[in-house]
Amino acid sequence: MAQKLFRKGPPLRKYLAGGRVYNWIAVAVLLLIPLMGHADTQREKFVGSHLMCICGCQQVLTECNHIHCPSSVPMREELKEKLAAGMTDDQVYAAFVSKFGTKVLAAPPFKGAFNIVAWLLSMVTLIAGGAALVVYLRRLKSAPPKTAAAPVDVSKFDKEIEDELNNFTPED
Amino acid sequence: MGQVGQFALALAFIVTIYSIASSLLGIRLRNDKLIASGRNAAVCVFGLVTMSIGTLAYLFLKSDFSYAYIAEHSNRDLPTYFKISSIWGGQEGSLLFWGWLLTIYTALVVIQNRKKHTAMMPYVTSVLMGTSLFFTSMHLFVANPFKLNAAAVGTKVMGLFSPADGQGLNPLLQDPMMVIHPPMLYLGFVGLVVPFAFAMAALITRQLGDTWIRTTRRWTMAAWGILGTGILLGGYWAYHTLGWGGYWAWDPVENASLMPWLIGTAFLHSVMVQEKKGMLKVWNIVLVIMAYIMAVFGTFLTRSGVVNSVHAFAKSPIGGYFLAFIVLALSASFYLLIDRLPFLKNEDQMGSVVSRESSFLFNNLILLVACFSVLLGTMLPSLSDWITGNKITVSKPFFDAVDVPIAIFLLFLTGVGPLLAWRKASTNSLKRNFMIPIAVASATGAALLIGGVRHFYAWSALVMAAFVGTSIIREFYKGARARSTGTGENFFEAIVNLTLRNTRRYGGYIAHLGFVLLFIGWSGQAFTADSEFEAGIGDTFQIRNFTLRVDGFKPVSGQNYTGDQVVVGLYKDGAKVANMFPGRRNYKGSGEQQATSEIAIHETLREDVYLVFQGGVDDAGQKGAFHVYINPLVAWVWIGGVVLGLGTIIALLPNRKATPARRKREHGAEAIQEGTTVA
Repeated sequence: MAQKLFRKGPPLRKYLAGGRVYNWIAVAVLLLIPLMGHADTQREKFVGSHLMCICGCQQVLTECNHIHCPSSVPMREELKEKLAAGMTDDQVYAAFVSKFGTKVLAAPPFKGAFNIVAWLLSMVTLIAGGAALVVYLRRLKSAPPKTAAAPVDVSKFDKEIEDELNNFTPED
Repeated sequence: MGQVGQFALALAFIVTIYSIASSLLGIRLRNDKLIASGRNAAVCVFGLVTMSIGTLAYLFLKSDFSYAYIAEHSNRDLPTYFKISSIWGGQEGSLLFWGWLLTIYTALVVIQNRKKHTAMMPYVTSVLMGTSLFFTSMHLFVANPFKLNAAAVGTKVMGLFSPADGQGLNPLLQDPMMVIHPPMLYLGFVGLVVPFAFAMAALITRQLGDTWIRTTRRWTMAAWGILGTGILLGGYWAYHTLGWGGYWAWDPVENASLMPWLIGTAFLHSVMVQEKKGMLKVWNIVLVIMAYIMAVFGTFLTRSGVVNSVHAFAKSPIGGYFLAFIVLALSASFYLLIDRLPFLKNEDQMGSVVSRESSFLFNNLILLVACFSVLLGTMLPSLSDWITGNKITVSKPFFDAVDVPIAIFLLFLTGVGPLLAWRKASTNSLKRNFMIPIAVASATGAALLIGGVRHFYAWSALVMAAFVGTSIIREFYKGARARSTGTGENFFEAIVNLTLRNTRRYGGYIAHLGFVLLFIGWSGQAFTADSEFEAGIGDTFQIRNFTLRVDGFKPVSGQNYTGDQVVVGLYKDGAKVANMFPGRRNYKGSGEQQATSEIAIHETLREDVYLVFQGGVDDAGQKGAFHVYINPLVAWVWIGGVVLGLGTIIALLPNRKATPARRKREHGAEAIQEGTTVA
């Protein structure tokens, strides 16, 4: 068995160039992705970054830089209390929305036709555009090469050619 | 004195109309003197608008508060250089500044091309002057910076008056960066008018060959580079001045500057397909039009009151005029484009799905979707208000979730595109070119996982950065090695000569390298930490492996402010590394005192310690409230910006021509290089 493991194989360069190694890398990456959670351990910071300060500064709650801000200071205190009371993220958001309205959310919730379209539109456009490009390129590739060009009626360009010649100067 | 500026504006308005009429009539009547007169009139407009903005500068320096704009944006104690930057501190002055920059560009273009492109230039002048006419109209009739202060009762003006002092410039704008950042941004925005003018002239004259694209490419690259620098300087200002610990907040006005930059990026890539293969002609014109429209749209967004933004100017009727101008420009340019479609046929066919030209198409798709998603996010609050009656908020979490994956995909293509061959990349060439970058990226990914990186976006960005960085370094290595073998130059000399002999290609690679460094910097956002604390003299606070110790409080004062400064010792793993001096300032304004934070940042390549003094918490002034942030890798954002700028400058340089002796020496090197690099 050991002999089999350490048997001299093809050189590394040849093995890499063989292509199989990339399949293994792809599989390894795909397996690793689910293991990678969102590692934001500072829950207050995470939830606070999804809420807006309502003082009019247009900044998320955790980033409001107004000294002694009349809005963000009590809002952050309230956030701390709610988290300490064991509320879930969604419960905290719901509590803030009931108090300040939906404008307190830093991003629209993923519900309601308008919001869902807003969230997905860019990615759908990218995927649809990418698919359309691939189809376009494949069709071009499979199209038979052009043979002799069909006769073209050039008389409709006569006037334009004449104008061009009249406007022509050697510097052009 | 203001009457001089006002009169110069009125004259500029008349001369602008004359310039357009003279240029167009000159073409119609085939009269060279009329065309030359239109050209001279365009230079004259530059002189007149310069006189006007010079007058405004003079009024600021003299603190003449009988003018409303001066009284609202300056005061007697404002330092001289901020009095100059106050010119663009508000709506009317910044518009005049926009218009003035446009006249500079126009004068440069007409003088530079006075003996070139004779058929196209009268139209170029007309389009540039047409845009100028819109801005001059705005200065004169809608947002006049020379309006006198009037005491009014209801709608009736009761008399003119001059307040004893002005209201002062917004303290946040009293930063050296604000003297540079807005002019750079405006220079970038306005610069995009030039390629648009050439594109329109090419369409009108049907001269859609190489000439317009060559001229346009350079102008677009210059404007794009300046705009990018302006955007980064804005981030640098925000980071060093605003005190929230970051440099990009997806604010609508930041987004407005990003959108034309993204379209400009798309154009700079797709134009290569037109130059190399004679394809994407229609698409390139569409991109030039869109970049121009987005530049004007950005100005509209800031000034219309449509979006809420910390940067936005006061709501004014100016938005309606901008919207009308945008609709007019869009309709006219697309009408022209559609009419000239028969002259924009492709000269070649697309290669395979895996080829250089198709990678440019995917690059364009991603950049346009990125632009679309930024536009969508920016407009969503207004759209939801109009459609559902409920105004939602769209801020960082939305943009980060939607745009970061798109950006990472773009970074991936940045690495892949240059390694693909034109027409069709063979499997062997793919393996040969991608083997090392993929191996390095995989090793980086594994090392990051072992090192504890679990943030998916940050991990992906760093892995992609390793992939793209390796592929770029490899291109330089291959080229320099081949050159070194052929010419006998040492390796570093070969790199320099290689770059100077093919500035577009290697300047492009350097710009890509800057993009990679930017991503490394951005990925640091996933590993930030911050905390608020209160401390008196001798108190310490620990965050990660840093300790902050308050050593003293002292009062400070300047020409137009008073404030407090704190001395804070910074210790890393127990050893002192720096003294930090965060503070607060109260700027003198008329009537009220405006407070700002002075940020202290200890910057290293690994991380920044960012300290904000929020103010005293006791009457004795011996205890204060602080907010400290640990921001990893931020320095790489600024370094990346510098590298990106350097790459752009190199790409703008003409290729160094070979002397006969050098050509002979290099002949062998190029033969070797041709054999080793992808065509």
